[in-house]
Amino acid sequence: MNSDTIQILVILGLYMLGCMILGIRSYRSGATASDYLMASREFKFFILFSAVFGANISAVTLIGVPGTSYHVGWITWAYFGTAWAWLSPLLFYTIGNRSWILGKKFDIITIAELLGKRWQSKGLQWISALFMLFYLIPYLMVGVIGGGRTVEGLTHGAIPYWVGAFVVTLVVCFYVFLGGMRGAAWVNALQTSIFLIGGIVIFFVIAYSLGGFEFATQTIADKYPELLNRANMSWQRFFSYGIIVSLAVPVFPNVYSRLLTGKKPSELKKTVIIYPIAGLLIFILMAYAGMWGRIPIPGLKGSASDAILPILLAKYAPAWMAGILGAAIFSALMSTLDSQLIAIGQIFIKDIILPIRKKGILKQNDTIISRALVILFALVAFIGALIQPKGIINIIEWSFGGFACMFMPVVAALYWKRCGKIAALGSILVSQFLSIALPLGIVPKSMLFGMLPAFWAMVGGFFTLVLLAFLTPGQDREFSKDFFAVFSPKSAYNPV
Amino acid sequence: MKKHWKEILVYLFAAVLLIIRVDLWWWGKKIYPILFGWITIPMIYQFLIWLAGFGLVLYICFSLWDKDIDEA
Repeated sequence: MNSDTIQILVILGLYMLGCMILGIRSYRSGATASDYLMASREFKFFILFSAVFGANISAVTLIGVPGTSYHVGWITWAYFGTAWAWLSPLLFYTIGNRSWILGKKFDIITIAELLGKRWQSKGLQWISALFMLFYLIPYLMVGVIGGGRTVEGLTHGAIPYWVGAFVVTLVVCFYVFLGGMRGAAWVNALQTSIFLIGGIVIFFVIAYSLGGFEFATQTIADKYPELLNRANMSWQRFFSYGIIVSLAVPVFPNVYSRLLTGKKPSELKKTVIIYPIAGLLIFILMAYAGMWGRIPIPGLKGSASDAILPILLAKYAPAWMAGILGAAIFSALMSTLDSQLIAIGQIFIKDIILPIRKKGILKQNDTIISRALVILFALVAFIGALIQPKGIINIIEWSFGGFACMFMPVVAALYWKRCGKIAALGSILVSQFLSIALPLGIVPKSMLFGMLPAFWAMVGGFFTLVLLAFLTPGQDREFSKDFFAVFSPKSAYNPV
Repeated sequence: MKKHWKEILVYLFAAVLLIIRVDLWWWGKKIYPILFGWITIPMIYQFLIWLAGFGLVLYICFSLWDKDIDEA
């Protein structure tokens, strides 16, 4: 092991230590399940922003975006930035604001719980929860796989893949086990700062090393014009992905529950204001760095380009900076991993265990169950990362579409009094069926008109919802009236 | 105008932005940087789309989002 590797490991070690110290500091003995799973809904702006942004930004941003830009060019930042970066925060208002009020009254934490309580249907709640788990569990594995590969790549194989995966799992498990939602959010504040500042440093180092923005871009224009003119990405993909990812994020289970952890709606409002700026910034930095990387490192095929940032930093930056990059990548993937572990605990407790209890309320020992679930699913993620099952990436690609298909029923639950549970259930079943079946080829690809399959799944889900809402009986009028009364300015639960 | 209709207008604007962000007229055409030697016209266009979307977010936050009790 050479001195460069040791420097990188020292920086990564310090970062891991920082995460664990924050986990210990957030530990509260005798914490209730509500405190463990939702931090008593007391977050103020910076912690709330870090918790939501950290849950949203994953290894995809710091590994996948530069890797994709290497092949398709600058358009990668617009792929996310000119839709998701502003539309998802806008939808945080649409969904998050009303859900926060409902959360106060009905102690709602999860999407499935919202649907179940809105339509008084345990069946609907269970089905929704199962879809959420179906997409979440493989996602967990990807975070651990990313951690293992990052350590292996940064240390040039001196630290094997399984050790990296194990350390990531162990550290996330440690601070989530101790601090629950509060511990994760505090650590996310550190992580969000690291990957935003790390991203800026990486961008300038790479641009400077390649002769500056102008020289690097002129070289791209001469040698690889397709990276500027977007010939490697279809407009249909650009269009449909923008809609899918923007609608999926507010209903990611790990993001949705965090939208409800603000002390007041105004804390969420501040988060929404800053979100588009942070979102655009990180994607611009990563997209240009990846595109310019094609100049000194040509010829990377397929997913080999995912390693472009570590390769560039190994070539141009000192070892300590590669260590910071490693910490930034870890920050991005660990902040998503911790939120997913908590979300799985929330789904099991609130959507699966609570509905079968007689009184249907949280008990003190639910904190123990939540902590046991954290360990269990961290273990599942680690074993999955060791096996690296074939097809897992396909499931991840489907997951964005799968989550996006839950968007319409959630909006109907929050805004549409007339809509009944059969319409909501029909919409979920039709859209989820299409979301899984279309990529398997049940319809010829030419009939998708170049759009991503999830786009048509959402369209199918939308029309099913509208059609069934008018053809089937609506919800009991009195119940609907009471349910929607909480949004009235006169309601004790409405902060106005 | 009622808040409800203002919200619907915002969503309509958002839908329009999602459609016009696909700048088909420049897609696949030869593009050279025109600003600071590294920024192209489609990049500026995409940035303007983001800016308009951010404007909608600010409008929602400052005009439509209800204030907390202690803010009001």
